Amino acid sequence: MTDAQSTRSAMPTLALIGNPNTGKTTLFNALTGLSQQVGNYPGVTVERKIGVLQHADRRRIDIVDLPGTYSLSAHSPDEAITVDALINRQRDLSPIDGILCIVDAANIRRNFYLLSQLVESELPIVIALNMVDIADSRAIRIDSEKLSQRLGLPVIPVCAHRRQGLDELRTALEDLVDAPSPKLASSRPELPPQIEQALRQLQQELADAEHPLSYLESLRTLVDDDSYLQHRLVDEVGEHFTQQLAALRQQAFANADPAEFESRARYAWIDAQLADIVQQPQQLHGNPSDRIDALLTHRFVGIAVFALLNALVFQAIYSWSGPLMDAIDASFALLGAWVGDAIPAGPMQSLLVDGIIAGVGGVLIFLPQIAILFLFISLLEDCGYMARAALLMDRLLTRCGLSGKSFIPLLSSFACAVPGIMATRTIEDRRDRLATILVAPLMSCSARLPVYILFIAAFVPERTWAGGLFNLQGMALLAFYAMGIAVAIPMAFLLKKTLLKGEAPPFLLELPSYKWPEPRNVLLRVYQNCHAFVARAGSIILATTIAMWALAYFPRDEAIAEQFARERAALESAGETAVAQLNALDSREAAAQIEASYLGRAGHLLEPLVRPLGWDWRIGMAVVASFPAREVVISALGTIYSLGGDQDEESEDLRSAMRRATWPDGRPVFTLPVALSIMVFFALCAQCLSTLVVIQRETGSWGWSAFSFSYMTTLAYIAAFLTYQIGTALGWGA
Amino acid sequence: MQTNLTLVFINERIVAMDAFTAVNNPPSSLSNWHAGNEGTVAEVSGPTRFAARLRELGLLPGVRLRLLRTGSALVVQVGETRLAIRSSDAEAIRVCADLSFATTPTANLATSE
Repeated sequence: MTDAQSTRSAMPTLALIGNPNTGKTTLFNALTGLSQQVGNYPGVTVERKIGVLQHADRRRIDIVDLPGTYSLSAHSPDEAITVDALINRQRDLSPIDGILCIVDAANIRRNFYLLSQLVESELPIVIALNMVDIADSRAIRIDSEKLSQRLGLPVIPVCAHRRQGLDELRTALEDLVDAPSPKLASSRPELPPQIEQALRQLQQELADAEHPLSYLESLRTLVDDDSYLQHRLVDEVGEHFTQQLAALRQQAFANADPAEFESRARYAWIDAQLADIVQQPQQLHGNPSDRIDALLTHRFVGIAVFALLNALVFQAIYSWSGPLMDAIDASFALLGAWVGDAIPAGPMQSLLVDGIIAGVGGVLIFLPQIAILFLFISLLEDCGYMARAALLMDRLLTRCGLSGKSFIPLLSSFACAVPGIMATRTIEDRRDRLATILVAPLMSCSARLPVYILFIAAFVPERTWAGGLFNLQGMALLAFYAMGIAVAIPMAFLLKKTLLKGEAPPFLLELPSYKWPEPRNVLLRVYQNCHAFVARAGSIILATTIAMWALAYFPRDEAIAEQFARERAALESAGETAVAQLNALDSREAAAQIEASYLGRAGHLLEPLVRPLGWDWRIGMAVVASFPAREVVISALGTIYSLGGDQDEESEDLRSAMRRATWPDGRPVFTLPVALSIMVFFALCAQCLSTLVVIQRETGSWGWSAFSFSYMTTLAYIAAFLTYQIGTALGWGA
Repeated sequence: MQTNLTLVFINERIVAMDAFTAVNNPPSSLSNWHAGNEGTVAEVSGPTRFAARLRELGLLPGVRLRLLRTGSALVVQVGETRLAIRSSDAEAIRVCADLSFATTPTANLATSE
């Protein structure tokens, strides 16, 4: 074995890199199939995707899907992740042994810009020339063999969506891994002498400071002013490095922009590589996407379509999921009844039936709605519409201090704030990104949906118009979704005027060609998100549910039990064996026990604080218990009410239990103002541990998590207070 | 005039323009254009980061450009790429318009490298 071989890892990892909109996800899915592992941080994420190359005969090869990027200039966090992976500084990622670079054949010149930087990484590269069919239909011809010879790298034409060329690509990847020594590109862009000279000087200075850097890393540090790499280097080497670098730049480039020299050198290299190899029409041609865009980005028609699409999504979430939800509900009820019969009464039966089955089932029932929401988001993103929506929304978002780039993160936050906050990595401007992160949790995520659905179904009257197309409950749901936005807009504006003051950064976005959504991509994404939701139900929610149950069940008060036993005995000895009376007695006993439990005692302590919102101690406790995740409030209410014995055989569900709950004086607890006040609170609060953790991860500071939590909780409390007080004053509670 | 335009076509990647173009067809800001207009990018000023981003996306002096949408955000076509750019930012992009596109079908000007 040669030295080169022995240093290579036994289980090699390749990085899949490419521009956005090149079909990277489709290729990744086609190569790795269902072997993908989506990195799991507390909560959900779509960040670190690693899969095993399928049908590799020689050995196991891992492929990591890195974020799509146009260059390695490391200004946005997304680019920083890609650069860090290449220089082996990405956390939780094994060293990269080679690069699979995906190139859109129709945009080869632009896509080669990234390649011109990748060849500087000293890693072997395989190029997948994707969408050759589309390029062909636009009369763009590429001689891939000749290109391969000139570059000194394998170039494999593929159509990832038709699964063509994958065998050849796999062979090329296996060859790359098996090669005795890494096969590098035959040439690199020839950088202007002043850059090369400054680069040597920088590398020397850093070597002297015992912080040697690779060619790629030092070049990016030198050229990209104010980049992520530069900031990290300053942190590591010391504050004096800022002046050192500035002096070096001033000496080498005076007041000129080194990035301009660099890109000129890169395009010169690109044109030399592509000369006589790419034939394409010299004129600009329109394509069918342009005709679709004439309508969908039209300033009136486009906005109307956008609004209609949104209305459709919300109606679908509310109406299509009904049968599935009923089925899930019925199966959990059956399961509960079966377990209740199989296990003798006592703490164990109560834990399983009242705690786990009622609690987790109450959350899992919302899976169909989450699936539908993600289905729509994935469909719109995969077909290319999202970029158009961002374009249409830029105008509005600019007015509240953000930009069209914030649109996709904010929209994703309607599904879940965690991927939404991670999607802000494409926003370069630090202040814009922070403002987006801070308002993203105000968007109505799927965990709020269960809360809205439960309370709307129980307390908003069912009325329909226009032959059932619009109904009051669906409109109420839409109104709560709109409320998040209505609060986020002034909040973002305020943040950009105060804490995050600064000039508006430019807005620049690629509009990919429209295409039919790839069923595989869409379904895989829906699956991954549903999986994450179920995993949450099985971990965080299960744990909180068990804790809630224990707090509500213990301590069992013997005095109460004895008192009720005496009453029961008195009833039976008096000859009155009426079932109704005995049941009423059971209910009263259960209610007395829960009042005396730890939860009951804590709830009563808390009651003065939540009373102005119209809540009783049970709601207050359920809300406190839902700190780890909003949907826990449902399982917490479920546990409290099933333990509280407010149920009978005819109506086992939470809705009717809540409708029958009363204050000690007999007035119903849940009136319309109370239900609205709870929903308003959940619309604005920050009850989600995963979100707070991801804010810390993405901003690098717990301070911003604390800030989010405090401002959102304050807003939520005030808004819930106003809702209840105004609603009651208007007489809605009667 | 026809000859001159063809010249600009062939030298598609050359930033400098000949004297005739400089006098008769000075570059104008993209934000003043109408949808459907075509031309050649002359210069990109404005913040260096923005210009660098545009270069990475293939919009740099010398390339052919077509305006597809106007409004608060413009859409331009560069090669096979469509880019959305905010109108206020697009002021930094100066383009030499084709003088003849209104009268001469562009197909007549087609040349090959």
